[in-house]
Amino acid sequence: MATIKVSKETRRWVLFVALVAPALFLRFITAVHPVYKTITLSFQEVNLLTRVTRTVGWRNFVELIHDPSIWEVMRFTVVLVAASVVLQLVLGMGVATLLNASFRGRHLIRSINLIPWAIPTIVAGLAFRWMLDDQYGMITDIISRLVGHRPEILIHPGSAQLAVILVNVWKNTPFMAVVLLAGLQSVPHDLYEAAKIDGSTSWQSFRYITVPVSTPLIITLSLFFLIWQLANFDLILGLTHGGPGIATTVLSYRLFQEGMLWYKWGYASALGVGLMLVVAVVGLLGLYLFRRYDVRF
Amino acid sequence: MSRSTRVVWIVMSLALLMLAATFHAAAVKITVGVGGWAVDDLKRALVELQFTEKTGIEVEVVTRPGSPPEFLSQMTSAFIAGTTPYDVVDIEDDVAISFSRAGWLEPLNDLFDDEFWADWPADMRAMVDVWHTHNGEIFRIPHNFEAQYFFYRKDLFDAAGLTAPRTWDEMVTAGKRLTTEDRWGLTDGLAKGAYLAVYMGYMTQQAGGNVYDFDDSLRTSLQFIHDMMHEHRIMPVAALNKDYDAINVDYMNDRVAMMRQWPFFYDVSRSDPDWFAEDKVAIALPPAGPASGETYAAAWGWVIPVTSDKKEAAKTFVQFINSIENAPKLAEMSVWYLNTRYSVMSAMQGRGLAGHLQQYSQAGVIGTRPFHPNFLEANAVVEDLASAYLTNQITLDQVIERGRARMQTLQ
Repeated sequence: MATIKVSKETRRWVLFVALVAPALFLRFITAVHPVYKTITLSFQEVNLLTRVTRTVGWRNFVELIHDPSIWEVMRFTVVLVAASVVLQLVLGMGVATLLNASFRGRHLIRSINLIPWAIPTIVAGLAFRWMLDDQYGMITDIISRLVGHRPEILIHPGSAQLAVILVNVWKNTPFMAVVLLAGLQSVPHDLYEAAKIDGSTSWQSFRYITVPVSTPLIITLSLFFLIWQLANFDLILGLTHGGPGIATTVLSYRLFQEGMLWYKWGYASALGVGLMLVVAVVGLLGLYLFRRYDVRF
Repeated sequence: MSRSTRVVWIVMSLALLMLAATFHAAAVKITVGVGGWAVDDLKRALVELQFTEKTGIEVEVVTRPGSPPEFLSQMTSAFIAGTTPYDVVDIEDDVAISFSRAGWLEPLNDLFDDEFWADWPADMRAMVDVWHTHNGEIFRIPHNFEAQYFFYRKDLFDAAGLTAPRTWDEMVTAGKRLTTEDRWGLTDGLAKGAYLAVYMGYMTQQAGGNVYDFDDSLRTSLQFIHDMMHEHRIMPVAALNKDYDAINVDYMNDRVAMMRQWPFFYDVSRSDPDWFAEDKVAIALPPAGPASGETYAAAWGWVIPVTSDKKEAAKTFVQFINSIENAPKLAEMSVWYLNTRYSVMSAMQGRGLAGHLQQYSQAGVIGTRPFHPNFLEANAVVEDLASAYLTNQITLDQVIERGRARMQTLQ
């Protein structure tokens, strides 16, 4: 009986494929296929409710570009995400530095710090909606006691946008702080001691040791938060419903409306593709800028 | 086998057969989905009306998702998969429009005869024609008829020597008299998310048009609301961030003198006996706009998903629950089943909210809810633009221009 000789190299390849294939398959059905499907749908008119499905070429994208509201939505999306990430980074680093200090009860404080992050976003949105209410809101009451005027925060576009940004920062800074804290704890302590011997001030140690060593983590976190917050809409849903007008509407909220409320999957997919491009551009730009920043150290 | 043994065997077999037949008959069980607030009332009603005893059909009453988006998602997935979590389900106007246009609801024309429809007054029939019928097929049978009422503080009006306003102008005059540092003359729930669109539909109807047409009637109503907020200052701009719960709280904290509200406030206001008094929650006919003094009614009603595999039993349920015999009994058990059907009005004899509903119906002020086949999206367009105008982000001309352009894409 003839036997088939299998070389050692072939066996290694077979083993490699057997081990890697499940992971590849999983990635394919959870990432590649949805992206492919979204791109396909973006060239179609698909409406489950009217049962219409037909290829419409670039029409969804043309409508998207000619929709005057979309640019307003895009503008606030960029402002929200950029301002939030910058503030979360700055405040997160500050909180992480404080939590990294040695003091009694710091473990308790670290746990308390996480409370805002642990609250579901939609709940936080609804709670802040009440807290910012012009008549019964706790926050508006405090402001009115301080300045003698009760502001209608969620009614005016500027203050509503600011409120969304600040609530978003309040919600996510603790998580940023905890991850940055883990990074700070990994900085070799002897670097600080050496700097101290050389006469470095606390600020200089932070500037020339903490920040450079933490930069890879900051890059990763920033990109993660940028992408994550571009896709988030639950805070908007709970807090403002995108209003007043569309002043606080973001791309992901519009996508939710088009896709999940009105079942216009083709147009929603075109928006999704647009969002994906924005994520890609912002991500690449962020990576590029942070790398440049990293080089300087 | 002896003769007596044979007789015993035959009797036992017959008994078993009858038992099996009984089990078989009772084995038909349908699932009925209603909002969480209506579950207990329906269960009690079915027991009291002896539905299972009379029909042999068992009913499991379950809670359906309360919010339309969540319910739409649940049902859309089910329909596409060819299934349904409910054999009969109680649905609201906006959901009904979406489902009927998708062909997901069983036609119900054959269930009821002329005698049944003779029990329905003109205002309810008009609603059925517009909101419950598609391509000549009735797909939903409404069990309630929820008009929006004009609530006002009669105690405050009396103290100020005023009577309930009959026109928009009188409403402004009364609002100016009754607005103080701690109290607004008028409020409403105008948050985005279907609240503002309802009010715009109501006001635009009084101005003589359909809110989705973006014509002069919408211009008139928007201008009027804007004036009440910014010029007369009798209505808070902050109403644009309030839902119905929020304005109920305002009203019951004595911060408001007048408001339009759905009937549920009638019960809410009575839930605080320390605050409640009849003249604090008086109901008047809606102040008339330039064209009419109409309000409009919304409705919830029973539908049968086409994907149900127990359609016959489901139809028996819908027939039973809406019959001329049972509809009045249901209305007596719960205001959730209150409507203007002659049998219902006769049984209620003007008690409680039924008296006000009868007053509105007889005055002919219950119009048909403004309709758009793409209802949810059309509402979003109205809300985006109205909210932007009322917060001074865009002009009235821009509202009309952009509204028309966006509505055109919805056709």
